[in-house]
Amino acid sequence: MVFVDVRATKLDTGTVIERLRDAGVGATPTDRGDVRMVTHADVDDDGIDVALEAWREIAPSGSGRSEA
Amino acid sequence: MRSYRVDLRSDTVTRPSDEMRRAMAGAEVGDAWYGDDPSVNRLQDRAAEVVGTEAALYVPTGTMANQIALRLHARGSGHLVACERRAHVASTEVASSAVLSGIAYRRLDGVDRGHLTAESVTEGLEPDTYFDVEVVDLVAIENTAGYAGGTCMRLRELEAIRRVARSRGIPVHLDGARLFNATAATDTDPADYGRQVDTLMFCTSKGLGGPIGSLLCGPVELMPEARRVQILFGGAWRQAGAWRRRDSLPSRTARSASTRTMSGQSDSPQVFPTCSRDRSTRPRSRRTWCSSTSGPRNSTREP
Repeated sequence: MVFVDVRATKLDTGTVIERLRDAGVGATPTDRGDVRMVTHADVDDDGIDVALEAWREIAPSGSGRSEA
Repeated sequence: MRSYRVDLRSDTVTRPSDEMRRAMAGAEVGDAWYGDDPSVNRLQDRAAEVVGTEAALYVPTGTMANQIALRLHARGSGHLVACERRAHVASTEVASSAVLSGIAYRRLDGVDRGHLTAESVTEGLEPDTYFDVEVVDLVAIENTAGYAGGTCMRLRELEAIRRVARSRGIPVHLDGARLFNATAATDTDPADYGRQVDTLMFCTSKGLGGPIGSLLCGPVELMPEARRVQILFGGAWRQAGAWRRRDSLPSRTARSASTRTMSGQSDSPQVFPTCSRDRSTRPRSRRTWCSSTSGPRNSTREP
């Protein structure tokens, strides 16, 4: 499970979830405004790469912490 | 239906593999309400064996498994369950607990990566000497802790909490919706957890990659009442074995699901992850409610 604090993106949580969805990545908001992502048996390496690429688009300058 | 290139909304979104669908197609079934579904009965036996309890009951959801357990342990309306502040039972299930069983919560701070400690539980179980109305009937533990990002409770901490609770005559329930993620991550035996608690719940639909259902595990003597509450809450099954066949369920385990690289199928598929520990120390008496002498109906489970 990964929780992302999205405040540094200057975007609200709903917008981040929408942008992830537009990039083909399903994620959910938490009650604290974080973005939650959960790995499971149907996720493979390619899926993780898709998610990482989507996050690079959302937070292009990055904090450097998105590299797995 | 929305489709994703990668769906990370939850580990509940997994779809049955071809292997699982073939198993479902061939599963022996019966009316589980009458205790007649051999696949459900085998699943319950196997679940109890794996987590080291005497018996287990297969119910539709993790929330229902928790809610049945809370009802079993609650001794009076308005009594409290002590748990970590953001525990699933006290957040997502708070209205269910109030409506179904008149349960409220004593919320304690998760001081160790979102987990309670023996110290925090000791403080949390201090008697209410001022208002004299707060009675704690149960300590509820969650492992892994979902709202803390899936952190694992240390087994020795669970043991210490159990001792604190037991010294005050208070039972312990483990919400182990993702227990097998914890055992895989910490290389522990699920039975080590089952032995520490009075009741335990785990979901097949999360880290285990199954489609539906959760197991409420505990002593044989609780199972007739657990089953009664399952029916009371509207959660009795019929031919539920159609999606459960113990000997043909996914080989995918919590460990493989939690790593980037899937390990694929093994030669001997099984529903639960195995553990290298010696299992001979587990309780000999592993019975489902329907195969126990106290159960109202006869089991049709196979040897």
